[in-house]
Amino acid sequence: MVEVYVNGVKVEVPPNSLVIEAAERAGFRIPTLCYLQGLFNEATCRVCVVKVNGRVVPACRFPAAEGSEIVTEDDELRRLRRINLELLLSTHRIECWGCVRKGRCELLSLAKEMGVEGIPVCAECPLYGPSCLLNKGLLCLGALTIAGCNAECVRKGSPCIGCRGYVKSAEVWRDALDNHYRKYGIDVGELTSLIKLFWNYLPSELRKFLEVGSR
Amino acid sequence: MSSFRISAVERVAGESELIVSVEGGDVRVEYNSVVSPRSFEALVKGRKYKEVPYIVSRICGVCSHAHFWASNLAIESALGVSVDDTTAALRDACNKIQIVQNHLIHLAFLALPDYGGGNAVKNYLGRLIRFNKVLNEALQLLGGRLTNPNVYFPGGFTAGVRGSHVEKSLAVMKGLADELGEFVDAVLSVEIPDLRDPSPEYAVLHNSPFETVPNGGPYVLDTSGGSLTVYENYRNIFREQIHDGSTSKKCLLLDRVFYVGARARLLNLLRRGGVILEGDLKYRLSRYWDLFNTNPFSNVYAKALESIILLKNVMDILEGYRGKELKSVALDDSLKGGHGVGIIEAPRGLLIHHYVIDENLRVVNADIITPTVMFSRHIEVATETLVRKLVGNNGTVDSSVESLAEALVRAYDPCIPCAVHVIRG
Repeated sequence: MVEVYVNGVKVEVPPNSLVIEAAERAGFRIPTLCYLQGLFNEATCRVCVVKVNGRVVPACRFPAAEGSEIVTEDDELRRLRRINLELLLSTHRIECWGCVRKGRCELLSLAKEMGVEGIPVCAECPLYGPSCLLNKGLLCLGALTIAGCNAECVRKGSPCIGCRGYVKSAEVWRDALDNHYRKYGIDVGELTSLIKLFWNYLPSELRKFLEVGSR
Repeated sequence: MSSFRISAVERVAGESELIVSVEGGDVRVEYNSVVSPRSFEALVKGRKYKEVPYIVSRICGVCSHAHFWASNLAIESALGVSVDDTTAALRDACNKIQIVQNHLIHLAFLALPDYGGGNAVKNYLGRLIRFNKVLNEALQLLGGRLTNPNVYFPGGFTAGVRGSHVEKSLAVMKGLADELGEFVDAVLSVEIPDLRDPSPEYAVLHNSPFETVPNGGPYVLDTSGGSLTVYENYRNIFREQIHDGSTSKKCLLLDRVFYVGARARLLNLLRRGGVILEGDLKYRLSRYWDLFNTNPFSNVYAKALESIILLKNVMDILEGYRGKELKSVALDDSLKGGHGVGIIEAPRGLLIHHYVIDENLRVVNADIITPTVMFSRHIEVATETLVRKLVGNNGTVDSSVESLAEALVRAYDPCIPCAVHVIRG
């Protein structure tokens, strides 16, 4: 057996075990998207990064050597995991209503858990097409607001007023304007006035975007 | 000590100060709000009518249902829209639950410690936290969210509330009334100071909150002098005044100092023969008739008794709607503007919302009068009477008067953030 230390907890694992297995045995959860025990450990998602003796390595690929000191959670690791997740999301179209999982997937729940910005409330909202509140004449900020509330108000039939703040991604803004606000004929002036009311100001980057969009 | 100033006198929210000056046997009291203006009446100007309830419900976290409902009523009146009985009853139920919740918080954590009721609170603390949790759950089921409800618009409910929510909220509140009874007994056993009300004038909305308010106005107002019909003339009846040094207005009923709230409501209920009450509760309430009539401190007892009455009342209402399917509605924009007034009984007393809506269905003017504005003057005259009674022969008062005056203000349960206005001199 090999002795390793996970976050200071001593644990014994069989030789050739992986860091992720050692952490599991010690009772620590490491977030991961691509790892499947015994089936897949190609370290493609890189969400499971941990520190082994101070080096940042993927936990699903790196072996647990005798005396290794493993850290599964600190500020740097959280930042790195978030960056890796944002990179994954940058090529992923978030249309949960059209997805077979209907928003109940590990990617979305991990993104929420890590506070990844880039997913709007619309991604979680079950109303679309004719049921979309924008289509019913209600000005809803869901397309611009950070997801994570499970579209609570919108599900109840009242428009999103943006409690969770605005998504900073230009991709999302473009998508919001093209596929939501302009599609349903919402006046940009109305939209900015609502943003100013509930967010107290119109963020400068968003202002430029809306001005360009309205031309 | 001849004069004193108490800052941050209330314990609910916001800041107000009580300034008492005793000069040559003459006592003068000022009760001033020192919170900076929040401009909600200005914020809603230019907004579409549908957005207004969402904005104004954020005036206050503890009374968000009251503001939400009052603004819905006012907008419906302005647009000439009426709602069905189910909608009216369920909105009313939400408001009642919030009244009970407000009363319990006020009694346990804000008022009782003033009367040496610390033990009662200590004994019931665990249960009180649970009561609060249960009421929160019920509110969340019926109103969509705990604070700032989101399940109804002007016109009726959105798709978000179903008959099963009524069932569930009844289930969570089951057995609460009996347990609450014990706490109410404990509240009624604390001793309150003696004080003769200098201005026993009150105003309540006829048959509210014990019976459901019908659609919109005109409203019948019961006062100690008789009934009044109120609608667009409300400004002639509730006369607001601006005072130097206070960021909130102070209001008179015609030209008289008056009070609103639980004491006024129960007094009016008794005057009407306790219409909704049965047996024991009616007898129990009638024993407080004299006290409610004469002593402003008795608002604490009134809150305790009212929470029992309203809780039973709300359970009865919900029983009637058990299993019924609620239809969602959506108003189209072919409506015409107008102006409307919404008056309801909020936890602390009468709440008035008034909106003028133009032909584009945008609000052009808004006016909100809150209960704290209404009883501010009554706090002043009652404190004057209290201090005058306790002034010694040498024209000074001792320090115990300070805490009594503080307790008196808190017996009214003033909540300042609702009350502030932009004051132009």
